[in-house]
Amino acid sequence: MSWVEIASLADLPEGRGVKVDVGEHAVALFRIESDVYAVADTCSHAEASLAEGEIFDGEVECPRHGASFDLKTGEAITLPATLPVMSYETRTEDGTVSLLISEDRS
Amino acid sequence: MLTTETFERSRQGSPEWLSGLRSKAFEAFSAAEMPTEGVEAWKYVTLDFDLDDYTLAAPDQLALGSTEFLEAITRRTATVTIVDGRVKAIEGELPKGVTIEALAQTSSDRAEASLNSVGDTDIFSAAHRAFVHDGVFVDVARSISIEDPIVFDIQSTQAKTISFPHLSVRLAENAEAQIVIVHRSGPVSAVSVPHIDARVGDGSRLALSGLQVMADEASLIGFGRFSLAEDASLKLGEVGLGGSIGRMDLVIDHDGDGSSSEMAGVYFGDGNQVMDYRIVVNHSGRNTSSNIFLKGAVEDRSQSVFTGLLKINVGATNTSAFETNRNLVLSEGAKAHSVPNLEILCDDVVCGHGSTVGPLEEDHLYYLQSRGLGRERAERVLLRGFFEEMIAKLPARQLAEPVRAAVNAKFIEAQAEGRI
Repeated sequence: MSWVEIASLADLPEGRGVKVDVGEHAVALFRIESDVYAVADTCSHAEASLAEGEIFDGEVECPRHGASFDLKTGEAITLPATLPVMSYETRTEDGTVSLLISEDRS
Repeated sequence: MLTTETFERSRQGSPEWLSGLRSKAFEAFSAAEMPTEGVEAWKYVTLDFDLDDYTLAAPDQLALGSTEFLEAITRRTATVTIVDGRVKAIEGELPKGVTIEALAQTSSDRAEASLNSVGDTDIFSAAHRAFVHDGVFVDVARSISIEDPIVFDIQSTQAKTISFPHLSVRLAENAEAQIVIVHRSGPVSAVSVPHIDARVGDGSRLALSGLQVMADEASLIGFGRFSLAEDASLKLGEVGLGGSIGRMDLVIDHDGDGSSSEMAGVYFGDGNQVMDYRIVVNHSGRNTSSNIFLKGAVEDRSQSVFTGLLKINVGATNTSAFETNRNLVLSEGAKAHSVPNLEILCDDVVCGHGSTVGPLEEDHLYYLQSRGLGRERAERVLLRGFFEEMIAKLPARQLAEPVRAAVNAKFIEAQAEGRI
């Protein structure tokens, strides 16, 4: 596991997702005030980018079929998704957002 | 006010040919009246402003800051900024065979043909020709193909002003170009009356996307005239999101044999907005095809109008022409008028038209709710699905993401405020 710097906090729009590619990981980043959440970008139900989803009360709603996931844990909250998406730990230091990534993704 | 004095002042310095053309147009403008609901072309639109309250903006106004729509178009051939009807900047390195000129630089024949292409349709088209003092003329030479779009950022910045942006595009034979036009305004009660004319030469391909994000206080009353030569093709995209009145009066002429056009449109009205699309598609050549498809939603007290006419002229054999308009009416006070017409003067054609107006389907909502989605979420899924079909067809793919976000944001705001 290692911390990877991925963005500056100022570049992340409030309340809207941004997709970043970190090695093999496609990650959707969401900034809510000064907190940044990161989950795997691809919905666990069908091929769709969660970074394009809307945020409601700490959940992201998949733009394609309306499944929602907890931004903190990646847990699937509503159907049609039943499986969680991977969530990533983030930290913000001096305005730079880093992500904790495991090197071997299995 | 657009008085004789204003006219004379604005005409100073115009070359003789332009001065003459403008004088004639000013006569037509002075004789014309504001359209009322009794005029067929304006039947569903109540104009809530008086032209007497508007005047021309002083030159050299500051340009507005950027928007997400413009920022989304990262790769460009050139950017043209027009502020209050005047060309502010033409930036970019143009490839060989492509020229972009302002009115003062272009030939009088070229400019005159373009200025005359709308004719005296109504008071606004007459005003455009009477008061137009600048313009942009794009020429793409034979066999030249430009991949990245030429972007037009057309802005209205001053309160109580009316502006007349003019844009003309010519593609010679076997050329290809993409144009993106963003109509926008500061938070002021301005009126923009743009006029866009494009001629697509033999075997050429033009993709032209218009996006209207005027402020709530501002209005857009635009004209577009497109003519297609032999085997020419046109892809049009129209997105209407802003403005008090957002109107586009479009005419597409399939003059050349084998010419074809496709149009994808998306609009979403809220508040008291009026989204008005008037589209005439003429088929005169043989073996031509057209497909017009617009989808829109209205909520709160907004209204939309789609008036389409497919006209198949005598001798236009083997024409294929379709027009479709689908509307979601999301609030009780909102209205969608959809009037597709056909006029067929030739018997060897395949034509069709369809229009729908209604709320989100209860059956579909019920199905999604039975699958575990809450009512509001189910509505959002249906709305996104409704628009996605059109958003995916917009010729400027870079605009898809910000348009999708803007449409969703309008819907979510209406849900949050309990209007849907």
